[in-house]
Amino acid sequence: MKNMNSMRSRFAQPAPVVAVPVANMGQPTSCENSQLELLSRLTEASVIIRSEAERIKAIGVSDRSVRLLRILGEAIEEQRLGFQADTK
Amino acid sequence: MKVLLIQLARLGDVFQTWPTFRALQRAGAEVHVLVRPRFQAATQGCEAIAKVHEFRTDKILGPVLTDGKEGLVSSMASLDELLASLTAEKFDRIVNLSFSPMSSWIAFDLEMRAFAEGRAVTSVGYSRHADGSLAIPDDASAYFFAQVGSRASAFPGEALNRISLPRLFATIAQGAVPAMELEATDWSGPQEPGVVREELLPVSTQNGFFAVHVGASEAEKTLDSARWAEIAARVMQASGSSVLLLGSQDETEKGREIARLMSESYGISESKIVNAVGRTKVGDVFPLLKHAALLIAGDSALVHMASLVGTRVLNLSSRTVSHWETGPLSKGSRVVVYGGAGPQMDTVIREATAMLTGGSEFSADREVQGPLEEIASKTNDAYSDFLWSFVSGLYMGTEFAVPQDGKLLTALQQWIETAEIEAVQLEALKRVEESSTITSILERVDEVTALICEAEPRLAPLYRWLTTERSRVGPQAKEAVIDRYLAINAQLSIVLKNLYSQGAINDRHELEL
Repeated sequence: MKNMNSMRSRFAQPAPVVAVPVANMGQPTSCENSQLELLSRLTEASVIIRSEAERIKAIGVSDRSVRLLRILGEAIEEQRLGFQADTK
Repeated sequence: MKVLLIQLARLGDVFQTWPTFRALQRAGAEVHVLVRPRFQAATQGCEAIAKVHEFRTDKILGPVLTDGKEGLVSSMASLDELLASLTAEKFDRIVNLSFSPMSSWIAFDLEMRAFAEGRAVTSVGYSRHADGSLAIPDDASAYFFAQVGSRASAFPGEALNRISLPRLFATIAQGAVPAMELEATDWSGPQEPGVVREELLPVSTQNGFFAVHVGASEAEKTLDSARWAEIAARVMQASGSSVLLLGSQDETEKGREIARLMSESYGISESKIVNAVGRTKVGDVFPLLKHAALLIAGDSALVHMASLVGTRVLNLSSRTVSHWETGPLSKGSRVVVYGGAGPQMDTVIREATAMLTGGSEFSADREVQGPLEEIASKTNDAYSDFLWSFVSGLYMGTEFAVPQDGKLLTALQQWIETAEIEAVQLEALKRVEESSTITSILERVDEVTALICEAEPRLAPLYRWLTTERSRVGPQAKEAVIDRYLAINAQLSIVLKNLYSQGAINDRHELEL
């Protein structure tokens, strides 16, 4: 049973907060600055979405708003992991 | 019949979906596709697509990223607008080919909206159960989940799947539209072939010209400037062919560096090098590739464009990717696999030269027979062959490879015993309301199973099949969940016992000999 639970929960849980490593530990370049800025905004948005999802989670996924929040949450997570700049 | 394909991956994945678009259209479907705007260009020219819908990340995520909580309402409204517009299309089928959590929620939302309107929509590919957990409705997607891509390669050994992504995409879509069948002619370029930009054509030679794609979506999927310069220059010298360098705008600097190195280090006149890196649009590339005698590339979108127009490819494939899944499909293409030290340059140059001049040399790792080739069961890697026969036997009913050593037999025996314990405990669980003892034993069974498979990596495909099948059990009554688990356990036991008995027979034969 454990396997089923762990597999299902891995996909069912909201995205975890993941730290993105910054290779250059010196002064960030302008490119790195803009990436850090984007990362910061992505993190902030992720927290907002999770907090909103938490507030209404009792309703369940039959509610449209909950599904929209899950899509937004995963979209943010894709951006954070892929670090793509198409949000600009 | 209206079909929506969700393809939210990159350029190369969209090109690899072209054969599926065509097969669906031939089966009578009106084909729509949902893509990201950045990769929308890869749908241009595919006559089988009736309508392209865009997942506008900027419009959807922009407000919440810019205005925080105040922007969330606008972000939700933009997303809602997109999903409502898709729902208004009244699709009969949804085919999700993206394999990502986000796409699974999109597919699920579209199913729920259709349901709310009193319409049933058949969906294949990842979606969600009513409790929000991942749903994998079709067997082909379950195969993908278990044996393809990063999840499969996270276990010891390489990715084992040998079915190309275009064929997998089509197999998944076939779950929604059974009448569709792939044909070799589904691999063809745009119906309107486009005009060749004469200024980008290299000088004419007896052996034509070859193209080199200097980039890829990730650095590890391609080579550095020095290696590409050496390959391009030495192949030019050995074959007498001219060269066309291709790449995106982001790779412009790399293209210049390669051209400079070819000139400075190998004495190639710059007038003989056409450096088109950063100077082409997607529509320019198809006609150029069609004219090329050969494309040399790593794991990149251009490989799939070449496969569509039938141009042969010499694919330099890093071990971090799988050439079986994303390699070239045009007949006569070859694959050279390399590890951390990079490819053997002499091999690459010899192979490319033979392909350009018609020479008989062959020392590549694989030659491609065509997009619908029979999947190779024998390669020069016996370990990989064993695992593929295992996967192929499990999913496609081909003959299993027979285990040939005591270590594997011991692991099989241990797993058979563990599976028997599980079956007994599951039966017992049916008779009681709840039992912490049984639950604890079942958890221990799972731990031991994982340990057996960790100690014997050749069993990894079967372990992944097992965990995937369990994850497909959706939320339902306890009795139904247990029954499904028992059915999975029974299937597992048949496979294990079959393997064990075949191996034991072999063992005895070896002793008799």
